[in-house]
Amino acid sequence: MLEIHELEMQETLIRTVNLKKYYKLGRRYFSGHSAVLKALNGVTLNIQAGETLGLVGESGCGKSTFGRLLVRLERPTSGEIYFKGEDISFYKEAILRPLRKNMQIVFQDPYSSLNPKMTVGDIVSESMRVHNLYPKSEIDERTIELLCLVGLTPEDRKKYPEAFSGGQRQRIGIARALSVKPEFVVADEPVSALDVSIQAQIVNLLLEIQEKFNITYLFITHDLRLVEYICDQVAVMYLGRIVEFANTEDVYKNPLHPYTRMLLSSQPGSDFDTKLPTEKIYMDVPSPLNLPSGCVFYPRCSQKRDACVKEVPILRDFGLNHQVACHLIN
Amino acid sequence: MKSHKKDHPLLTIRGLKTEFRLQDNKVLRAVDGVDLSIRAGEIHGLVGESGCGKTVAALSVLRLIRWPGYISDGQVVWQSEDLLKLKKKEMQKIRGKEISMIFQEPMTSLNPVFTIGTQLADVMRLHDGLSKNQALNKAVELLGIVKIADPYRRIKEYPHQLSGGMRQRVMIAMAISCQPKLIIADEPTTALDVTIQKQILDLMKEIQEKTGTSFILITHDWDVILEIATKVAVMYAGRIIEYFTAKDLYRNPMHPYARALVQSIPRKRNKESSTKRLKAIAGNVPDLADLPVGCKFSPRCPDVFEQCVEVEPTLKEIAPDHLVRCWKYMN
Repeated sequence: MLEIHELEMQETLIRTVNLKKYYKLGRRYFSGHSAVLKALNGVTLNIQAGETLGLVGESGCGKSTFGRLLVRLERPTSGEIYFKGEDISFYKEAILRPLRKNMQIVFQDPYSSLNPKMTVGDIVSESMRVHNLYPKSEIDERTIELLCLVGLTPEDRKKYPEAFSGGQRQRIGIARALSVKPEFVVADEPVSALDVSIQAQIVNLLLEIQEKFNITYLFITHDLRLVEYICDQVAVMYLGRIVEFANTEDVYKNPLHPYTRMLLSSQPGSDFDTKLPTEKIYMDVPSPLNLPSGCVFYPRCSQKRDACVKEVPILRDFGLNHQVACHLIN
Repeated sequence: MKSHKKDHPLLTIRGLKTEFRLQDNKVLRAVDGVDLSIRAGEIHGLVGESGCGKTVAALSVLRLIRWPGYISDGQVVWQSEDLLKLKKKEMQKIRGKEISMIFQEPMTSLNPVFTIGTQLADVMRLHDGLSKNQALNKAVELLGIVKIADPYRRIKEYPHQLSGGMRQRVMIAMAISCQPKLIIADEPTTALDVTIQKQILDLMKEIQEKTGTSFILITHDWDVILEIATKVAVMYAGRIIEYFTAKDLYRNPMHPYARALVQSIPRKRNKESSTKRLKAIAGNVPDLADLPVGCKFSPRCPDVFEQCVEVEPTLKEIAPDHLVRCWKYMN
């Protein structure tokens, strides 16, 4: 453990401890009980400054919820979120607002995340005005600078979002996030709605910006190829829990959790399955409304034991900061 | 039997053109001269970005194009019969019976107010003249084939009670219900998670191996093609720009667009390259109502020369089973 600490020169920018988010759904008709959707079920995770942490998992596993909690678009049910050592988990909006300029989010859908009635200039400059970052006279200049930075033209600030393609809209969304000079950006599936040839442009833009401004990313995606390509560390999420966490290389070369192996070998055209014991895919993901007891993965796991059904496995470190939550691994 | 069938294409598309009339009387050329032939037992990939015409081409084969769209030219020869010349009634006998289709969005392509069983049975009652009970029994059998657990219970359920992966299995069950010779699958796994995608692709492969059904697989994901297809046609702006065997997909693409796309897909980063950058293709997908004169890729092409801007190249065979539409290889 000592060695790891010595290696870690970077500071931890974001830290969550046992973070939970439950959603209460409407009452069921006859039983009268209201159903509880457990979107996040105790997530403990560190994000180092200047790094890119990839968060992968199937749809509905809680990745977006986690991202939205980190930038406090939502309030956790319980647990702690530390931003630079400050516990922001239950801050009220007024206290939170000055902190918001440090953390921004880029959304998945470039069509619904831009207000169609605002000009691009207004969209990009709104946060600067809200946070009073610059004198009024400088805001226009700064907007132009931002648009040029993301590959748009100064004239574009007078147009409305409808005039732009998906890729260009995502550039606008990135300019908006950058306008307040954030230290931390949640990129929630930023390229999955885009065409292949446009995806690369946007990924490159995000990487360029990271180098220029030393931004820390939480990169949420289901594209395993992309994660391998750009992320320093990977967290694999399954039904609201982290099941594996490690450096990207370790996850791809030596995936330990059966779920990670299942994910990697499902990637079409992958060469993972040649080396790894391929996990057979048994069934679909269970509903988060009715989570399995014990390890949430056991109904789909081919190697399950008695302990898996009864006990929730905790995330344990297996050396070199490779953490896995699985009863099968010793 | 297989060998003599293999020589005769099951479906041949020649010079297919499908256009859409826009409000200001402009014409959008969604499919602009596509030639393709599919042999029995082949899984044939059709890849391209959104708006390249791959879906419209497939819908044209089944004559499912509605005004303001229309097929303006070409032939779709199905076992020596031109489908474009058939009467409506005759076409209905082919659609769903000999050629069937799987759509991208399993949520919207099933009717929410009928049970799975009814919807499956309807197809077989219509095409194969089965009674209701016979058809329902067959439906149970089909759900078993597509590996849906507990089929007796499932046929009584409605689409909203099934997960996305299961709905897509039902769509596949429906598509194979009348033993078609060709199934057109339009982005069958795009809306699904990777693990479910794997299951669906494996299922399609299994059906192809067991029954010899041909598939046209439309997708934007090269890796999906690599996984199950034998031949692949790459489309750009309504035309095929490259046609080759799927195993050459990453190894030997020739057209500058295909090459650039391969490089823009994140692959394992090699240790030596310090930069993380992907090779992006500049510019955007062209507007189909306002296409450039020469080669449609010329505005984005890194190797463009004068000829490219003026005259459009034709699809030329440069090696056995490898066709490219590019001036670089014309001489």
